[in-house]
Amino acid sequence: MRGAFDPQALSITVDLGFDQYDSAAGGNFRAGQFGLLGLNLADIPIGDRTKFLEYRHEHAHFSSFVTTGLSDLQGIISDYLLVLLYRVVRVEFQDVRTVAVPVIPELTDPAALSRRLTCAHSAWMQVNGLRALLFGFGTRASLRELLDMSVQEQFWGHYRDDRFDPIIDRYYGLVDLLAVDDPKALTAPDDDPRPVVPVNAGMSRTLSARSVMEAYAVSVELMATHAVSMTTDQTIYSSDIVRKPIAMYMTAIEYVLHRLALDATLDEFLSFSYHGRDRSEGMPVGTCHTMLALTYAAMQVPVLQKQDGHVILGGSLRSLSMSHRLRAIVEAIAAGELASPPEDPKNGTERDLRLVEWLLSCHEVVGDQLGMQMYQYVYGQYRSDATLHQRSVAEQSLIDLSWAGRANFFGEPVEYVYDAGLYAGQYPMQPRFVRTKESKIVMPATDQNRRYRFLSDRAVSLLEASVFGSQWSYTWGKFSEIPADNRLPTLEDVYVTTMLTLERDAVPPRDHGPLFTLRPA
Amino acid sequence: MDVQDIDALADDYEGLSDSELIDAVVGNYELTDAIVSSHPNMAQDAGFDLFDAQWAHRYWRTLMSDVSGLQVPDKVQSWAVSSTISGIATSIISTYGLPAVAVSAAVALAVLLARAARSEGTAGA
Repeated sequence: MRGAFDPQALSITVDLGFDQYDSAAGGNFRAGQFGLLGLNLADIPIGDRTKFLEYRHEHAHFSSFVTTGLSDLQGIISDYLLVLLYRVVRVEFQDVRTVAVPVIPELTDPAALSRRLTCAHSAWMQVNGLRALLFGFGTRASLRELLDMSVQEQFWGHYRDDRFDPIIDRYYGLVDLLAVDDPKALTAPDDDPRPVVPVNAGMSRTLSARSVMEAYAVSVELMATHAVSMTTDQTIYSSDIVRKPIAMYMTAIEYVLHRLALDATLDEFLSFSYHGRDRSEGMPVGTCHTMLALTYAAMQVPVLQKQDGHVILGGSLRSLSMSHRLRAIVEAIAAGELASPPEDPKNGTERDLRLVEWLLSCHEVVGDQLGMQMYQYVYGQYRSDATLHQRSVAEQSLIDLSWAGRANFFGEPVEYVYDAGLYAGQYPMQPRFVRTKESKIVMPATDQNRRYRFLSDRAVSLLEASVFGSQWSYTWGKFSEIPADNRLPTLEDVYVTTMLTLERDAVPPRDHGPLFTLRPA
Repeated sequence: MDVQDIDALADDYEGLSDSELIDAVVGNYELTDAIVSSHPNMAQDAGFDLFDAQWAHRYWRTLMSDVSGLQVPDKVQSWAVSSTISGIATSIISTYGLPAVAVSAAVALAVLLARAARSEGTAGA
């Protein structure tokens, strides 16, 4: 196992045993007590720093996801998937009392499915593709294929329920915005929806959203490892602190280094040193600062879910896709049309103002008129209405978490861009839960909401596993806290909880016997 | 790279550890990008666990189905455990349209997937 950030559940998995993690976090989790940083880990100057650095990386993913609007953008897709998957299972019950799961076994030829399930598979694959474009490594589907709403309309022809129109309309609204730009201007010649960027003098690659996210998290980790470290003569590292260059994760880093002629190769950046060159000093911190600022600006998408559930979003593919944002910003700097990020960003009395002004200029380049206003709006709401931020971490909804992220950034932008706000934060902002090495879960929750949070944070993934056999092994491998003999009961609980959430007048089945059976392999 | 080269690579790579094979796979952009682009649902977590041994155990059946064209689980397993490494690698190269620079990574991936398939067969899972 290694550390990981789950963008769907906004959770972190740590490569630490429960007691090790409890001790490192300075809490007493068994007694429900959390340390000064809550679920987060502070630096470890005495002992093994490796685990702290791994946590720093995953926390940087979490923090940037929540403070930039990415969690709100994902929420549009996630809510749509929840309704899509729920309706597939719900409709399966119309003729039977017990449904065999997964509904569509792994490796099933789509041509062998019923018309209804064929539409379900196609709709899910299309949403998956869009999710991969906006948050993952991309897809082979063309932009035209990803935005062809006839696929979704065919699905809803079998599964429609008017009660879910607001969630459907929200997703369709996102797709409409993504279709605004001229695809030819934004995509590769073979219609790959990812932008193509040069990574060295002789090579170009497609730039994925995930590589932008990784560039940010790797840079935070590098700063913590080499530049802002708290070490003593009793500091040890149980793993090599020089990160291996995993090719597909590194595209954004290579692109920025090459296109802006920053004086470092990929290897030098990852090792924070100029090995082999005639220099005694390490790589300048400014190179890492530049990477942090550019990738953070790229992740700031103009999407905000309001407290009443309505979503405000604007822009187009150019401003809603972080890979397209990064390319536009970098190309503008390379062309002399946009200033480079502020130098010496962490010093000076007006450091926050300088940074926000530069970020605003980036937003203008990508046609984002709303992003910074969204931060201002949330921050203003928080300042004028204290009830909005009085819920504890244990009571926070996902909207509360996103709002806390926005307000925290707007209050201390330098801390959040250059340090992922690990030691900052006026408003509570914690991962939804942390999973330890032996699959124990540490989750701030109240006695009233504990089970609901456990289920709702995993609902989309577990419903995916219920429907699509291709997700079955992956999902149970990820949710290792759910023992094998508890899988079907958990799926039932997720289904019923989702039913009660989406259909407030629903009457859950009682004295029914099992809702699900396991489909034979 | 011709068949003899792939055969020679296969002989060499079968003796490598999982860790060495994973390094060979993840170091090649063309192979990893082609696979993940074909299966966008794979990359749901941010973390460096793509293409490690656990990932191979979760996805060998999906990828072997892709490259063999078979869709019945038992037939996929039979194909996976009875095929040669160079045969699997050649199918990977052909299915994903990989350039010459990705061949050695494809052979490394073939070994990883074959090991995962064989271990599942041995365990009777």
